[in-house]
Amino acid sequence: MKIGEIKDISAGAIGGLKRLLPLAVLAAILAGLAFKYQRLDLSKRRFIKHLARQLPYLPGRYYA
Amino acid sequence: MADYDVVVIGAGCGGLTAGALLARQGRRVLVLEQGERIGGCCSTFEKEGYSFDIGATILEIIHPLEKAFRILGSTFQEEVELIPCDPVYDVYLPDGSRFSYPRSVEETAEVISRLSPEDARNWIRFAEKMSNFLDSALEGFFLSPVNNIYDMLKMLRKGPGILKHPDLFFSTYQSVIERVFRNLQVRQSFSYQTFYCGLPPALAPGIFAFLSFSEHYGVYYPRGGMIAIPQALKRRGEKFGMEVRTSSRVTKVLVRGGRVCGVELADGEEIASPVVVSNVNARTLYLEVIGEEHLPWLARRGIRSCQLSISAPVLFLGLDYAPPLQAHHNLLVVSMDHLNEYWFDRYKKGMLPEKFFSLICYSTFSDATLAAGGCHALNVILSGPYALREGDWESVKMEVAERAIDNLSEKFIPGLADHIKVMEIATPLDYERRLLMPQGGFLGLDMDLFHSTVFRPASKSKCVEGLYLAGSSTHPGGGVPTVVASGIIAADLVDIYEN
Repeated sequence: MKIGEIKDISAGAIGGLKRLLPLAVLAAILAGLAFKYQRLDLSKRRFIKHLARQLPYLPGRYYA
Repeated sequence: MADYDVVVIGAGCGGLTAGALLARQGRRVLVLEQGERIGGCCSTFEKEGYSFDIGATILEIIHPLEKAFRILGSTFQEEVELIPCDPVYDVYLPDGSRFSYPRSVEETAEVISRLSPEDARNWIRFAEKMSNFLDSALEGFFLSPVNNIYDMLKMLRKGPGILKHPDLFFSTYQSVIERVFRNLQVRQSFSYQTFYCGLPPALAPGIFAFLSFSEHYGVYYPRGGMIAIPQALKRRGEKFGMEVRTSSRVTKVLVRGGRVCGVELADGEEIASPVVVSNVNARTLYLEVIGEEHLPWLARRGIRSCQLSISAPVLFLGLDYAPPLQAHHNLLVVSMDHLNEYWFDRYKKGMLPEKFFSLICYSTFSDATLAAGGCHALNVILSGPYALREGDWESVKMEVAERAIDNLSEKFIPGLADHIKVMEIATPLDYERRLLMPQGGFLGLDMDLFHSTVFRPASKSKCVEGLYLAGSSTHPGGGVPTVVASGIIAADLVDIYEN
């Protein structure tokens, strides 16, 4: 394998990692939130669940 | 040529406020009411010499009413005799103890200090915080239209103090109360108020914690019953030429080219008008009275997703003695966890509550004229869902009434069962049939964060030109002062956009 080819592969891998980085950060944030959610008391979990269930309807409600 | 400049559908407080203010602007206004009586949920009926309030039982936060009557060239106090309620309420705890909360914040602190000196100090701090919050909310939230993000920003500019309390927006009613008060009995004494916004403590937003304080701003009862308020609005409106027709049910809002052009009544009569103000529940208005075909798909989806507010059966009792109660409002409370259990495990599953809790309104305590000859009237607000899992309301309502009377006689009002001369129970189904409140939801739609401000059906319709909304299902929400505020907002918007 030529040096140029190795450079291309490593550049591609770094590029791929860079693309994955935001997803990894997002996954870490979601995991953190899920962890925090699990540690909340039942009352707060119910409150969040109640609001989260309504999220898909908010654009419609805004235009009503 | 239009028959009227504005047709208002529904003579509830929201519709009458909007109608009267629009007549004051010099417009020809017709208010159409499907029932025989005006006032909707804020009304009073008579049975065998006893007067009973249909829904609303007291009045607090009177600023919107004062503003409406001021614009109408009078004062609220001149038009309606207000009887102050002090104590603001009596609390009956599950352990059998009872205490009164006086109107004065300091005197209330003295009552709380007998239960917990620490919570008495917490109460003073809490009252100060809620007072600041409420002052800001009255400036901005209650009397401003919130049709879009820009309106919301304007509202916050009018009452920036609201933003000083972010903790109230991102927590629940329960967590606010539990954070402030340590004593279990004190917490219980503030549990029932969560149902004033139609949600259990775990789901009611923290901002509604003001409900456990707002009574100390002043609670009043109008002499002659709650109907005195819509009667006064009607009287002022008629001075400016407003017409009110009862027993006239609107079945259709006529829409042509995306704009209202009038209404059609149940008897087929058509009334032409370029502007319609609706005091009907927004779900019923858009999905039935206007028709889904006139709504853009996104709005249709939004309206369909709106949840109706809580319902409750109400027991009306005419007595031949003075019951041993010491306040106009009497709260028979349970813990916040019990209220949550009721909501999640029973109400949402079509079941009646296991534990007894209730609000007893002793109207003749404030106004003896509501029953003749030393007799007295009680409204007992019970709990129960619209759709029952087993049986139906017609078959269970007497059993529900008898069980409630047994409970009250045994634990709270000795001798009650032996002194009942008149009894009637109104179920959520009755409220739906008589007042056209879908599923008997007495606050219109849910009052959580995602049914508020820009997410509540807009005061100026975004779907149909010339259509304006008032009443409990639009901003700012359910309750007498808030629906009056919605009427003021609707009239202001018509003034801006329909000249």
